Amino acid sequence: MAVKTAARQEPVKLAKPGSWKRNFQRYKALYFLAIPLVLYFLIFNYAPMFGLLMAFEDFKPARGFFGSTWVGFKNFIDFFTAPNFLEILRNTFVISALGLAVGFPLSIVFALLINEIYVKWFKKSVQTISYMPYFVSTIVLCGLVIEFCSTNGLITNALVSLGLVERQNLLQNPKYFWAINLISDQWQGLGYGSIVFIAAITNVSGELHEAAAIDGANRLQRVWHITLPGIKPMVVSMLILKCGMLMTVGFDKILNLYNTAIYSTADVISTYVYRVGLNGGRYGYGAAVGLFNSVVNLILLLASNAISKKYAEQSLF
Amino acid sequence: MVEKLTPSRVIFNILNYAFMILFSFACVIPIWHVLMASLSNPRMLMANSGIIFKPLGDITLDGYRMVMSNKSIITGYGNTILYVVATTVIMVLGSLVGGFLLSHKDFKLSLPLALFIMVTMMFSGGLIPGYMVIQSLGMLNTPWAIIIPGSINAFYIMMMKSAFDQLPAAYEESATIDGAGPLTILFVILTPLLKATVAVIIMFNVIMQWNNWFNASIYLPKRRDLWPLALFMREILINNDTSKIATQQDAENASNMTANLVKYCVTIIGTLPLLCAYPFAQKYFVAGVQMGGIKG
Amino acid sequence: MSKRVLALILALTLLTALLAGCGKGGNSDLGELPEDDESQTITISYWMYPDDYRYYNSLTDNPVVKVLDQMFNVKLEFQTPAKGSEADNFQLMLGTQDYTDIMNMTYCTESFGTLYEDGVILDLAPYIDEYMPNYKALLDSNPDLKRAVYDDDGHLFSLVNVDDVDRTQWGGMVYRRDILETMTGGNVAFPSGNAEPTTVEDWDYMLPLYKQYFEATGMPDTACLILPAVGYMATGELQAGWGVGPAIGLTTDGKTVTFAPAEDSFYNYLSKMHEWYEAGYIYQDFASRTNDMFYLPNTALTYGGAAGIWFGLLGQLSDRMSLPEYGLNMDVRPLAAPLDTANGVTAAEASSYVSVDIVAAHRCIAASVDPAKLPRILKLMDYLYTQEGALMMNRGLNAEQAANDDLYKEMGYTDGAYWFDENGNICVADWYQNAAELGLEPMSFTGQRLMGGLDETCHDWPANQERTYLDDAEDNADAVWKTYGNARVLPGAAGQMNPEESEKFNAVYTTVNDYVNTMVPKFIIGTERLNEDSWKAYLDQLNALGLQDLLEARQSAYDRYLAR
Repeated sequence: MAVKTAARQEPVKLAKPGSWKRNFQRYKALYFLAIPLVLYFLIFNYAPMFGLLMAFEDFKPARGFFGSTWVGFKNFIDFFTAPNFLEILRNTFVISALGLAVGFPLSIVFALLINEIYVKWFKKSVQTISYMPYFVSTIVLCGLVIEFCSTNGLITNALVSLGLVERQNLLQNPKYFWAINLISDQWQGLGYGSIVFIAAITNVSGELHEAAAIDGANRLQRVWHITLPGIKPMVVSMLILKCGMLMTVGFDKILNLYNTAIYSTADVISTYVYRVGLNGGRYGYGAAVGLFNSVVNLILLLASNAISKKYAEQSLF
Repeated sequence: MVEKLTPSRVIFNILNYAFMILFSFACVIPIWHVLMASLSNPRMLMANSGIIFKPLGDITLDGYRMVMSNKSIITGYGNTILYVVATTVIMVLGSLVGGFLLSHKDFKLSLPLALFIMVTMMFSGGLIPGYMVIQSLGMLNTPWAIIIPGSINAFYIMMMKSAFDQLPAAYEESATIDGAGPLTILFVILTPLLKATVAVIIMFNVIMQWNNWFNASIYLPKRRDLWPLALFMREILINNDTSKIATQQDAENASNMTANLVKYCVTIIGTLPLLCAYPFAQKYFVAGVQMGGIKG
Repeated sequence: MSKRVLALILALTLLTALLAGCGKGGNSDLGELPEDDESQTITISYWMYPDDYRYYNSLTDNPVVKVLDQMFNVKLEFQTPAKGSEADNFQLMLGTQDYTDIMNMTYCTESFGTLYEDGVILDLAPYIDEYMPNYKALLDSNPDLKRAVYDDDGHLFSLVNVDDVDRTQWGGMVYRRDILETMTGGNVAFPSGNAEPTTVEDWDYMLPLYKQYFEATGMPDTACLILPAVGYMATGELQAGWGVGPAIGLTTDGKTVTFAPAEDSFYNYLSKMHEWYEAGYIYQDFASRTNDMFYLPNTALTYGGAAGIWFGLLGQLSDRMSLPEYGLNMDVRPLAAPLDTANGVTAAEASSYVSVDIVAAHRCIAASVDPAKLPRILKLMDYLYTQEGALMMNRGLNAEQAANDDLYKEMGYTDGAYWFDENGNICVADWYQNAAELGLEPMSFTGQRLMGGLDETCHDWPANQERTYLDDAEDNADAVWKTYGNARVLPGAAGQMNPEESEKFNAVYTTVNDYVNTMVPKFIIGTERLNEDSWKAYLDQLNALGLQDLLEARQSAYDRYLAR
């Protein structure tokens, strides 16, 4: 069953894949198709990359990239030796990894659950409603979260009556920030995040299901043996992409939610760069931190791709 | 397909529906709060904390009136629609071509191309060099600065690639044997099979472009008449902070109180079109099932 | 083949980008300017951030701009960033070296000296005698202003907006008098014996009354005293009572730069705040309210009648926050910093942010300006330092100028925005006076913030009007908030650091500030115990993070300012 939906196999073999020249002759059309795409990325994405020079400079906007003082790795060293470097790194990683470990499976499960609804209008309504929070601006949403978690807020009240916490402002206690951020993220993004998987599930053939049902497979077995393998390529590639963004934490959300009393768990790389790099006018430093972040992400992406290639027999490239 | 109703199935259904109802309720809260706030008495709104379930005081449309009296809103709507449509067309074409190329395992350029494209997800030169490139291309203060640089991106290409990977190879094989060229294969044979995924990336792109004020704020500083709705809305949001209530006159000036309403009205005005459009996009998700089921 | 093409295109793109990035660098001296041919229309580009555009889509439609265009045969072309993107846009302009002719410098983080050395802005000193007689006269008549705009080497970089009138405070600490009256049955008796609260003891008397009152009402969310999120005020109003200055301020003798959270008496402030927090007098959620700017505490509390003392605005005084139809009657009164008499504080000199700055905004001319255009630009700017020009900026057009203006005609303001009566006093049109009530944005009809000097003549309230601008309550509040003066406020012009100083300052500022902002709320809430040892550890850590560098940088800039 799974074979049919597995990765594409080589089309008709006319020539053995060998030299570039042969490959070019064989796929001339594809090479030409690639030209505009390559040009696009070269011009709009690669050409501006000379800006990365900034990370190695004491960048002053008025002097530009070629007039600013070259400082080598000083910005990087400054960052690595900053008093809160490890804390920020840990926070970024934990917040992001939690989001991935919880949010990713959750959005797949949510997509599967939606797929199990057969009342059409209900299915449609739930789907539409589930992504509504995504449209409400971060500021308004964070305002609600701050309200709910205040000393007499809705959530605080509930937790206090369950005996889980002492009465206090949950956002003023560093212990709770990760949980608050995770839950509010899921609240906002679960419906939106599952759209990809809902679409992927609908791409899985219905006939396979019927055949399996005739063979006596129950619901769970069918989900396990048909639906999941069917969406595996999408799941794996989304997972790899997400791993490649593991060191990137949404900036708006945290900026609106955190406060100075909980910097110890809430301050992440992006908020730090914002405060130091932009507000503090240290552009080069900000760029260096950003570049470090990108390099870590790239390594994570390559690693997860390699792991996936080995164990899931699928990869992005 | 008729489902046998076993006891465990019934329990599952009950739980599933119950969960969905609860979850929907939690999801409606924020937008409901915003909607009700936008209709509330501005003075009472200021004195309120917590969720608003029904409008505070008498229902008022003052906030909406104030937003709509801003000439820029209509201009902004027009521009936004232009940008959304144009970027979507380019994005879909680019992502289809990109995904198609990358999913071709024996096309030798596919691996280098994939890396080449993925790197752009990680590294960017930043604001100033980006601006310089747009400037040297003569796109500054023209709609092209919004339409072209922001449309194709690596993420959508990768999503399309996975979708192509999901398709059985048989389609292309038989088409090749029938003598179809790659463009025909891509657009006539394969694309219709991936309607659902295309619908997803279109939706993502529409939402992203709809809310994108940043590029316009950078590339269109001299052309307010080209700004998208999101940028005007951001101005309204930032402009109408309650700090304006500095003197007695200001405090008595009703429009300053109404300013507090405006951020809620703006959210509703900016979101409603998308919420209304979503059910139409959903149609394609369902269509995907049938298409995918043809050959199995 | 395709590869070679690609390589070529890549090279070309990079090259263009590189070329675009190459700045001129070096000082620019334009030398002798060419003769100005006034029959030639010139385009002058101008970077500034916008105000309200309620009546037109672009600043070029502004009535004042149109008059200026005609008067000087120019075409003013504005580059106006979106609200909220001003800083980005300004940095972008500097970074891409795509300067406009005139630049508003509000969002500039670099010192003018550095910009001049880098060839970004012009030194206007050589031209002021010939082209700007009015500006020169203004500077000559005001030594303070002159000291603020000329640098140590006699360079003149900026055309300034002048604000030489004692400004009204628009906000300060306020308290709910009505609650005290209710709780004491009309016999409010402050321990200090004064009619208004003046000491920390008085506050100790008030706060429990608020607490009892709020407990009796049964409201869930209340606050006797609302603190800003970081636990103290950057501008100094509250901690002044304990003898602490503004975040970065001066010692009482006005000689030494200080950092409030490291001052000795800040310890007393913190321990009192902690005591009050423990007792439930301070808003329990204050630290989580980062989105409330320091001057705008949680409006749900203040407007909901659930707050006792907070940082209020003029518009909130006396009964203006009442909602009689909902049974909410408030009497809001201004409050001076409470003196910590127990520790011998007798006057709170830091107490306000009343500006000691007469320079409201800077405008510089780009070094890239076409020398042929410069005379006209300077003449135009100079006009704005005449009385007529200044009035145009601040009040709008006179009848003669308004006669040809579409917007004025459309609104029926053909008499103009101001005129002179028979005694030569300035009178202002009704519509301008009552703009707020009419829901107008008077700025739309003037050129405020556009450019030019704010002239004293414009600040004096005109002859045909009573001074309705401030009523008694507001006048009183202004006086109360200014009780202790502003001797400890560092003048803005003294903040102009030179390149070395600003580098030193920027290197440590965020780290120091972050640490303080993390620790102060913790000390107040009690998650970090405040005692001699922890205080010492806190000070040690501040020093380790480079507090001295920060102070030294400011101090040397201030010393240079004093020496001028």
